[in-house]
Amino acid sequence: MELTVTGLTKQYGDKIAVDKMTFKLEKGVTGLLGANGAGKTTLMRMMCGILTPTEGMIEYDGHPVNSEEYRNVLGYLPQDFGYYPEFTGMDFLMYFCALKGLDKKTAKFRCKELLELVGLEDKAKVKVKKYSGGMKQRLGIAQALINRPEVLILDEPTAGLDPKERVRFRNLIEDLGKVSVVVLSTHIVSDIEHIADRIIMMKNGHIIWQGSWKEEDGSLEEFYLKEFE
Amino acid sequence: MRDKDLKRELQEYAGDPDFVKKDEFIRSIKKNSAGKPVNLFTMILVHARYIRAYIWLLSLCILAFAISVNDGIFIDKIKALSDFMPFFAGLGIIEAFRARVNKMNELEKVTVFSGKGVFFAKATAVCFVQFITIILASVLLRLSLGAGILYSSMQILIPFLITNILCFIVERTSFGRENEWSCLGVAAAVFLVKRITLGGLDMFFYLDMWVVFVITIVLLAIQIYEIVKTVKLEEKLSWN
Repeated sequence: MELTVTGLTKQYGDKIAVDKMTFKLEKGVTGLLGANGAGKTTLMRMMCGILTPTEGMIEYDGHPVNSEEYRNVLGYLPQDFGYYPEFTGMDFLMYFCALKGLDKKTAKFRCKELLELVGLEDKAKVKVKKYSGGMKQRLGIAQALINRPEVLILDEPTAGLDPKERVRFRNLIEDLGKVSVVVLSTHIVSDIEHIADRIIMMKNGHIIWQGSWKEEDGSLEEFYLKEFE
Repeated sequence: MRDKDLKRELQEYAGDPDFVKKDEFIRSIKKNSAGKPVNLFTMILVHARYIRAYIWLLSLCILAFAISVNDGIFIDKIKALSDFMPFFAGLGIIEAFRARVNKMNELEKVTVFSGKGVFFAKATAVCFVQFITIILASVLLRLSLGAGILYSSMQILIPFLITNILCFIVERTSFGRENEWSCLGVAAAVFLVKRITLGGLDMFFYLDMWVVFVITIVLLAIQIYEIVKTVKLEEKLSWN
């Protein structure tokens, strides 16, 4: 399991959102830390193959990011996502199971399993429009896990979660990091401080620091605030 | 013993399985029993399953109207269907672009198909249902009125295609992307222009059959071109 990013650049007109980024990710949790507008979302969209880089390359175990092999092992939770108004929680997951090529029997089993995992089993038949912000976010996370992804990309996944849900979510991410390449973006240090095996700090489309904070002394929060002053 | 009870008892006696071991086990099974690859046809069928009920209902109404007993001049019935076609087309386009309106497109792009593939499958599913409806309606008009299939299908298809083409162009502009119901505006405009220019007459009053036939073929070609162009621009339109 190795995700390689080489010389990745994305330019919108004159603005360079991501500038010549190079890094390699292995199994474990990687936290992408940066203020709003640092280029985290653009980077993640390129890593999911939904945005074409201006320059550079992304490969997973030798497969290019736009290949079916990669999409089959990819899970993604965008920062902002919606739902079809007539969908219940179960319908929402079943729809993505169909788009991800799962047969009906496997899909039903997997949806029940995931709804249980994110604590929404008793809300399976409730329309998504009646869900709270936190419940929608949990449903989004369940959706990202449908195909048991080897690469899981989560853009600001803790947004809208209450403190209890945040702790529960952190534990889940930690578990997922043991079996997949997990990339999680946030601008909240405490979200990743204790669970990330590796941290990439971004500012204005550049990597300003990367490594394991576990090997460093001092507070990550202080370091982060100093860098963004 | 029910599965639920069995699961609860197993959990009570053995506890939850280790996450990593469970995942490794399931992944090994998954690799050994890899499912059939999903092709474009399967994806079109999946999207057809999720087309909203009102599109199917409208299609059924059109077919019912086409086969219903004719109590007036037969041209009136074809003209009524032809007048309704811009709205049928506009609603179809709204359905095809639904993911963008409901902010589902980003999620849909990370599935077995690329973003372009997903949009193409969805647009094809909707267009296919509508084209089949139009062809069947022409056949039913033949049965109920004795109208020529080519004659009635062209009468119905031309306003449908013009609306579809204009809707695709509008959907590529920021106005179209920001206004969910812009396609119905286009449909209303096509309907009004048609009523004003043709009045109570049909297009064959002004044009020969072969001219109308050529116009239909040209419009079909433009329609295909517009779909391909929109699919190609899908990424650019989503993020700019």
